[in-house]
Amino acid sequence: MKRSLIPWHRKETVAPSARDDRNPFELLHREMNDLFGSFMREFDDPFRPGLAEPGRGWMAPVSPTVDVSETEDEVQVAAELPGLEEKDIEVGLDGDVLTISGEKKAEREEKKRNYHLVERSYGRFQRAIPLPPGVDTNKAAARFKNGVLTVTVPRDRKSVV
Amino acid sequence: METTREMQTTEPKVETARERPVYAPDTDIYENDAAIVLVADLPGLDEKNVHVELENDILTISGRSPALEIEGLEPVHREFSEREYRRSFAINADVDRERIRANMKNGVLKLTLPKAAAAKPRQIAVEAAG
Repeated sequence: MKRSLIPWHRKETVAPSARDDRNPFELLHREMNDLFGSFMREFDDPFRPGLAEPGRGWMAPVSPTVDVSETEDEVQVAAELPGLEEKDIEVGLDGDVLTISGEKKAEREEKKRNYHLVERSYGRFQRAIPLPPGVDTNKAAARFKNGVLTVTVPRDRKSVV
Repeated sequence: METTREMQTTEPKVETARERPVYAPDTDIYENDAAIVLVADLPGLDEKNVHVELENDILTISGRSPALEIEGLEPVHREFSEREYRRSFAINADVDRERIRANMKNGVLKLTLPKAAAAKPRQIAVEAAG
């Protein structure tokens, strides 16, 4: 049961000394891990929140969940950012990649607090969402309502064949 | 006598007959001298589509995210929309049920459950023996 607590994508947690090539089960286990690891590195779903990115660990920024939708006229990206204010959110465009980042600060209304349950996440968050070709990023618009950020990017009329 | 003031999380009720998946919202619960405070993330929801119910010591939060507004919107990649939220918590006798308050801001529900007078910590004066 202890094993399941170790994140599977962090291969370095297996100490080299624990590897024994003569043990067929250990070898098989290792091969399966390597196979799965390389599969995940090549996993090319652009929306996957950085599973294959190096350095991803518990300290890494949180990735908000996103929905991407489209119509004939526009592409719409919605991100869940509950508890944030508009001023805490940064929306950027780097070429055709939309970036959403910011920081959610822990509320500090009073010092004396006794937590019974902590599930909500705090701290920095970021996510990069590649936009499809043929959108006019200069006309991107963002709005924030009820903890959901919606970025709308119209399609570029000129690029429509 | 029951002394613990902790609220127990009950299993989220999974209703398989529904067309939408049911999620338990991420929740923080903390306590101070005056109240137990429950904070739940319900992004996309506002006060009109969140329901809070108290029945037989079971406090239930529920709601559903509103449908996508734009006509002809094709989902390309979906991680959260069209969700149904539901989660129940057992509360004990220390909560003053008449004074529970709820408010919604930026997709976060904050429930304040004031402690009943008997449950609040208090100082008891020590007198010298006569």
